[in-house]
Amino acid sequence: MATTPIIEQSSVIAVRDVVKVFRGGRRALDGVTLDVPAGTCFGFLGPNGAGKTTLIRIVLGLMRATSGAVVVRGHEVPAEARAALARVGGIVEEPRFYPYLSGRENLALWARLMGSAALGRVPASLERVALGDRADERVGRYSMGMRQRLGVARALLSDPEVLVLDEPSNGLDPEGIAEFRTLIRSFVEEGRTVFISSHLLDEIQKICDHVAIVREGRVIAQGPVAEVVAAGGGGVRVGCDDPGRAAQLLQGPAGLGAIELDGRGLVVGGPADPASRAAVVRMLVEAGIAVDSVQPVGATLEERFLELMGGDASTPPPPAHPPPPPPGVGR
Amino acid sequence: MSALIRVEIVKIMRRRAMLLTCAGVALAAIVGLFVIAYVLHVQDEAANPSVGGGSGMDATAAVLAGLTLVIGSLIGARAGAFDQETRVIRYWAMLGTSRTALVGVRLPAACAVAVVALLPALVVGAGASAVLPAEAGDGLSAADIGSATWSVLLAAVLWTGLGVGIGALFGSTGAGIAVALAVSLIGAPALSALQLLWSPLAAIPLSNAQFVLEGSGGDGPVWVALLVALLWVGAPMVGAAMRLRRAEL
Repeated sequence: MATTPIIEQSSVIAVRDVVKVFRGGRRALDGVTLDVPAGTCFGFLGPNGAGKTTLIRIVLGLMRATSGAVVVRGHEVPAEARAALARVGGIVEEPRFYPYLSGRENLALWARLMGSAALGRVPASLERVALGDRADERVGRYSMGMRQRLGVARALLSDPEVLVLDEPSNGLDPEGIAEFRTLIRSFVEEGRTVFISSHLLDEIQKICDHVAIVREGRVIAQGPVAEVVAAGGGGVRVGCDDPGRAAQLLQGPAGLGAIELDGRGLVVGGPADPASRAAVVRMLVEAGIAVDSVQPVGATLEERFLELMGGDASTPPPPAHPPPPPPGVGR
Repeated sequence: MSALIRVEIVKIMRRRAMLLTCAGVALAAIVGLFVIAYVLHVQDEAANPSVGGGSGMDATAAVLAGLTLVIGSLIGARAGAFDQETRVIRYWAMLGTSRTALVGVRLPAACAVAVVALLPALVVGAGASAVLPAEAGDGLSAADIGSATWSVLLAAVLWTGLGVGIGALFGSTGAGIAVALAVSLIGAPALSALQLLWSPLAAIPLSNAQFVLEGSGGDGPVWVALLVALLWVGAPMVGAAMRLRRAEL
């Protein structure tokens, strides 16, 4: 960290050329540069092992970068960690608590170190995450989803400007995920910045304003969600009864891009607008090919993510929804 | 810092099962001591003239100081290791609090809790010493109570401190308890044997320092005993603090 690079004033978290090499030589981050605009929800996406949690640990002062600079709320981390993190709340991997204490007692422990204002926020934080009526139960009896919500409640104790949440939807059921989405957006509406890493690509698309996609320790796309999605190749996926003949037929006409057979159907590059799509369908039907579906490609963050991952077998796509928790877990 | 110590004390005190077990064992040991002493006294008053008095208080101190090897190791290792073992330490470090302070506060907090666990037994021992028969000239005095209290406090600080340091160094409650107990119960007698090679080495064991500092014997001057005690308790604490400072949480 020889010099502190210029950081945009509007960035509440700025990461510059951060490299992290673990003992043994594994390079987890390879020159990551990020700007998280203030007052937005920022999604941080990547397959398992891409370096998401490593970056979050560095941002929260839990781990040192090998090189590069991290500035949070205008203060360098880790040099000025106390000032930088004074109004930052976070969850890393999984929220941890004292299982023999109640949810309320756990929060009170942290609040005691933060000061009397934080102590006064304990009841409101618990209510905010809908744990008010279970707050006096021992945390050891909480489900995984309840512990996640308690983790968010703890993060709220400092009245944070910034919330850094690592896979916060883990362990939540679909109803819980929907509630969580509303909660996150309410934080952003209050002017807080939320930095969130997640495997739930459709959730990220619904919640986030900005997104960065990381692969093998490098950020490969970054910007407003709409721009990142729109930067994709476009095209349509055509479902039909004879994809091979359809591919041959569509090689000829001008205005169409690459024609590919990808195992899930025929992908036709180019025809993003409805009229062009209709022309493709008409051409196939007139040639006697039955068309059963036409879907835009790259119209969702998930498709754009898969496109950026390049179909590399070593980086399987994350699931669109979390797997159900095994029976009995978290109880 | 005081807020950090208060938080640490709450964290350990609320482990009620551990605390009640330790307090119960200490109490049972003292009750057992006086019951046996009283039975022996009733059976043969001439051979066992004192149950209470100064002798009773001395016996209370000796039993509690001995038990503290185990109680202190349990409470200390648990207090020293728990946060790292469960990774809850992340959420303390995230506040920007000094990691050295996070380790350092465990020592006074765990020692305070160990004293609390031993206190009921000490009070019962003092009460029994005051009311149970004692031969003439062996009556309970304030000096007896003070001396016994000092012995118990000293043992609590030394052995709990050792447990905290070892627990924090290993970051594992099980390993911390095992090593602390091994050092307390096996290491100390083994080290005592070193004096056979060269008599000044008798000052090395923590138990020797404890005897010197409580004034009940031991080898070597007080300043050496103090130094030895500081090294036994301080070295693992410093090691644990250095380890946590460098740790990637």
